[in-house]
Amino acid sequence: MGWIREKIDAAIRWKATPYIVLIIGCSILLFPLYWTVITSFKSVGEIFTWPPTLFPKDWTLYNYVKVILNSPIPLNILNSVIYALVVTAFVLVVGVLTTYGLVMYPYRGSEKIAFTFFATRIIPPQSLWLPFLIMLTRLGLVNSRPGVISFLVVLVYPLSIWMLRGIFGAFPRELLDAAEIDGATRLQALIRVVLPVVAPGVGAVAIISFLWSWNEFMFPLLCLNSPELYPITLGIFRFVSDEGIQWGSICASGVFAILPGMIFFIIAQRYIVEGLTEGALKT
Amino acid sequence: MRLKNSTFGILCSVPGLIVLLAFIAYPLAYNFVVSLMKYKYTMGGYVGFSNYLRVISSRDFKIGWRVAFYYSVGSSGLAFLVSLVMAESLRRIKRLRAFFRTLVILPWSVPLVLSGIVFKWMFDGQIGIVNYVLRLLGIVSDNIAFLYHPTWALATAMVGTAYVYVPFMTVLIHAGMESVPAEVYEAASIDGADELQKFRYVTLPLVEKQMLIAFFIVWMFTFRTPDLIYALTKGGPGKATFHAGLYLMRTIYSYLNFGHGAAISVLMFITVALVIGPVLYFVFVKRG
Repeated sequence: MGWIREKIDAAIRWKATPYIVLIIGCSILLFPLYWTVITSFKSVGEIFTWPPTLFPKDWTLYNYVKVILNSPIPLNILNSVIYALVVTAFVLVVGVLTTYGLVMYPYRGSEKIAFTFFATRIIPPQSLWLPFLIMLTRLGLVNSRPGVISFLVVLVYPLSIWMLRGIFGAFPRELLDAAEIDGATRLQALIRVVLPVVAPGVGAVAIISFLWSWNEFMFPLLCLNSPELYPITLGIFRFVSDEGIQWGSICASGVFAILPGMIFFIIAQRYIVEGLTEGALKT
Repeated sequence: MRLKNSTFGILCSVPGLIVLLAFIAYPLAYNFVVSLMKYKYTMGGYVGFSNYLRVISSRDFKIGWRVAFYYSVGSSGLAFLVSLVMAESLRRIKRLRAFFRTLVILPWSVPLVLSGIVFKWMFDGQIGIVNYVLRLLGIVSDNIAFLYHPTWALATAMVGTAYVYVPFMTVLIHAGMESVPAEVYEAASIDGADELQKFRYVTLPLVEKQMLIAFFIVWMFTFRTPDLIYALTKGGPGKATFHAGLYLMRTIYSYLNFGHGAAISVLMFITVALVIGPVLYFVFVKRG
């Protein structure tokens, strides 16, 4: 048995092994993404050929033209942008102010309050579907933009506050005291001294909040019935019907749905990794 | 007129607390009240816990919870194993680390529902590329109708979901590994530990906390979120992938039985809390 173990150890220890694992792993992970992008450039005929082609024989923009000119997708993209931006802005303003108070100027019970924010993360958003639907109906906000936005806030809020808390916690206290000695008020200190330093972390939180709102599907499905209010996730789903599934349109609009995330991750992956770690692992 | 620091702190937290109360605490309480009412199309009277009894004794509840448990444990377990291997590989490379990390994170930008649709197609029995690859490699001789067999359908849902959460989990576990000083690994090498031993005696005990958290965060997500299944199978074939979230959705949306829906919501919350509570206690209180 000993020699088998040595063989395994040698194989694992081999310098190239982690690279090979990562190349194979990333290929499998990225394949569905590749498949979506590549299919969006295929003609309708080619999408249904067997065997499937790994690469379009003839590149065509037909799917894109169709989606942009003859479907509500551009409007859906606009809706998603509005929803995600409003939610992110709202959560950031409230969240930054709250964590600034909690972390920099602690008071009796501030630890407990911080823990309450942490604890809210185990509440399944799904268990708030129903009260939100009933409340929004009563307020006349079901099937409206504010209705969707209010639920997205619940989705994003607890984790964002928690990540911000970790980010503010890492800020050197001395800088803040120095600013106050220089005569800045506490709010001025926040804007001029603290925010510039924690900006990368806050940016990461903003990106995660944005993507989370952008990707939400179920609540908008339950709450909206006017196609002109649909976010992109619902817009894509409209191409799935009993008559058949329009793969070309799905993949073309899917590319639009994936783009913001791709761009954000490529630009800011380091900060996102740090922010996530802060939010998920630290207490 | 200058406020005391602690007073200023309280003032800063007020907006955050208002949002917490208005958007989370109040709806939760309201939901609980509704769960004690007869509420089908219109609000009826107080019925105590009869909604809960009705829900728990229904067949759909048993199916929904069973599917959600299988599915969540299966997907998070599978995602965990893959993430562990990916994170360990990331830890060991010197060059191209940022590049590979970006590649690993990228699939995270795909909305769950789109993943569901794309997998529905890749695993299709007639034109699915997965069948094509399996046949090409000689693993199967005939196409498998993945989404028409109950067991295959659930397995496909698990694989698809694991795929969605691997990026997130890899990042968390990798971050945990980064916090282990390199000297510890060097010391283990000097003591003659082989790679498997290093993993067992260094990585496991030191990154255990992050691994537990990563696993249970993903477990929590998958137990409560039916988006991918909705897009992949809508709960079929039969009720093979009838996730608890779909049961809740159907009760609210198709049957408009809000009393039952509220009871299901509360039960969902309780289930998650019962599993996650002890884990949090174990990780944060006992471990310090």
